[in-house]
Amino acid sequence: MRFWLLLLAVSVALAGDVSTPAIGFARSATGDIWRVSGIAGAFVTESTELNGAVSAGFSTALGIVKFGDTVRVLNANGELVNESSAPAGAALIGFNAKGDTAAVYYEAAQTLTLWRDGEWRDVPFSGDVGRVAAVAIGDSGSVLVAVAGDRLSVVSVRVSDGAIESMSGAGGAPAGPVLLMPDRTLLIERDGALFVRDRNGSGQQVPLDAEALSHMGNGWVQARTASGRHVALRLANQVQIFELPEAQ
Amino acid sequence: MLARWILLALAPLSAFAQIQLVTFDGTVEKAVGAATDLGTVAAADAREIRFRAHNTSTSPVVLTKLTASGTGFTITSAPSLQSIIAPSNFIEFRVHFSATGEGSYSAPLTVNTAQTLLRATVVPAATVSVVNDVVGSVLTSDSALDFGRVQKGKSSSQTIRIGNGTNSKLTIQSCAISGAAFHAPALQCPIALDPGAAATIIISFDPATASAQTGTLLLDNRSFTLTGVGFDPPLPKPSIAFESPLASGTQQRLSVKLAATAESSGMGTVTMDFQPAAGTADDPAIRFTGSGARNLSFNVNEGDQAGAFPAGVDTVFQTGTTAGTIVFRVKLGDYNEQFSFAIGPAAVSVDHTVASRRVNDLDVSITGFDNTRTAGRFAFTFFDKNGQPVQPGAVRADWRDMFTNYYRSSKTGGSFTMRATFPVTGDATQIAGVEVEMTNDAGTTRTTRVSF
Repeated sequence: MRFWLLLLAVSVALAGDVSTPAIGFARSATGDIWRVSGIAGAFVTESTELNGAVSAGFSTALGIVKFGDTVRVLNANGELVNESSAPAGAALIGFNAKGDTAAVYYEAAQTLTLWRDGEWRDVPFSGDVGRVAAVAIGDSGSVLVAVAGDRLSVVSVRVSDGAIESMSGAGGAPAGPVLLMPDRTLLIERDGALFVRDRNGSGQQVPLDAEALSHMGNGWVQARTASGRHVALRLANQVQIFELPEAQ
Repeated sequence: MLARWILLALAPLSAFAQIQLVTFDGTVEKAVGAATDLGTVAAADAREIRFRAHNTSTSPVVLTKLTASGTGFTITSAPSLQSIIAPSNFIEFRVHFSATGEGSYSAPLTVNTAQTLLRATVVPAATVSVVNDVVGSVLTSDSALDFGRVQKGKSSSQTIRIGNGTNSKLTIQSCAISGAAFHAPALQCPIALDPGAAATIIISFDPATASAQTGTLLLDNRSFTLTGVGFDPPLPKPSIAFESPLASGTQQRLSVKLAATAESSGMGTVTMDFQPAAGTADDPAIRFTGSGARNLSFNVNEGDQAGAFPAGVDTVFQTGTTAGTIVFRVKLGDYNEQFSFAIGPAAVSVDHTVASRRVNDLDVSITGFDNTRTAGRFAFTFFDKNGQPVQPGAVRADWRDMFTNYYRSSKTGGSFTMRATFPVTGDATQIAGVEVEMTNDAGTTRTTRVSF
């Protein structure tokens, strides 16, 4: 009883705060980075000073924005943490569950790097297992690589030496973009629909002709459709789909 | 002495050669000779010829005389006398001829010292007139038969009477109508007309496009200009429809319905305005997702029963998180319709609640919206592992001032994330869950139990 009284007495004394709900960040078709705030279905999208990004991905704690030949690391508020030179072209970006570590795969150079503890670290991944379609960082700290060949597989790559620790099938070959979550959930574009497949192989099908998929942060995924729509997907027990307004 | 003689000898010739007359058909100039024949002209018809008088000298010439002296001939569109014709330049005028009596007509046309003899022959011809309810009006070949404005796809017709007012039999050997929008199915030649007899034909104007259109009715060598303007049918009255009644915090699909099938194409716009309820402010989340703005264009094509947005038959908009009235204005054609929808005050809506435990703290985070912006009264009830409320029950807090300050500068409408930290001095792991009650002016909301 004394414990609870103490608990309650202290809790009342220390009120919290109230702030703008942050959804994350999104990338427009032309490479503009938008800040997304509000709540599901009542998004407020605002332009940022970041333009011309060729790829981008955001977690709750990090943002990775790939430009032509540089890559920037942002914090949760979108502030610059690091900028480094990087191979030209687009990049595949994934995170760990906590969102404080990022894996980046440069498609043209076929190199895999890791942003962890404030620095970049190359992962000696040979990439000869097939076309890399998505990356993430698993619970054990290994880099998860979704590889597309005749079929889609998820490969666990050891960070220290690039050795393949395991490989598991993940269904048929994708027809479009793929996104990989730290818990091995896959978002796979196939035949004009988006399949959300959990690590056990079960999942949902969402009628969405996604042309590009990226992490927005806070459990949200951005899908850009062939018709130019920006869609925000909330990954929950049932995937929720919302339209993302263009930033003004 | 010799030079003076030469100048005197050349002076009259020079003056005569200063003006050269030509006819002009709109494209080509043709030098005129001693006589200019206007040809055969039907009685009561008219003929007009464009002339140009060129100054072929190297000095300016003053226009001192411009006459056509003869019955039936008149000069029109001429510059005034004393006008200056610059070297290598010209003036233009027209000679109009019209006469009712049969026979040959002539008149000298004089421009300063240049001259040509105008000639025309008037022959008997049928009288072409428009028949209407009041009085028929005679058509001449220089007048146009105007059908006025006719809606595309509709038709307007006029009855033409071709009468023989002469004492001899007339035969119109050839007749035709040109112009895609003009039709006269019963027009057939030859048309033989005894003295006093008449034939009627019906000409219709059936515009298939929305534009000014011309045609010609040809009766032998006489032509009558037909004119008309086709216009698009008015676009139907628009209205809007939603999937479900409007409420805060939702994305809705809006479609524009048409009161009738569109008979023409056009573009419209839908505009959203928001009138926030008292005590609240504008909400930037209220907008169309397709444009990211509060207006959006749509198209209507012929045959459509609804507007077509860039993304399809409907478009998505956000209702925002603020109570008030959303006003949609739909502009289409002549219509400017307005539709107002009230978004009523509602209790706080919770998007998600997160409860987390640190060593000596319990954190509770609630993200949601308050469309009245009067939230701030909270009650936290903690539960132990057996699901029993922890004594002494709900911990109440009044953070209305904090919320008021937040909403004063909020750029996301009524949405908020509230974080509260509860320090624990004992074994925090004994606390298993929390329920939060939030009260605003519209009511009270209680979250489901959230586990730590």
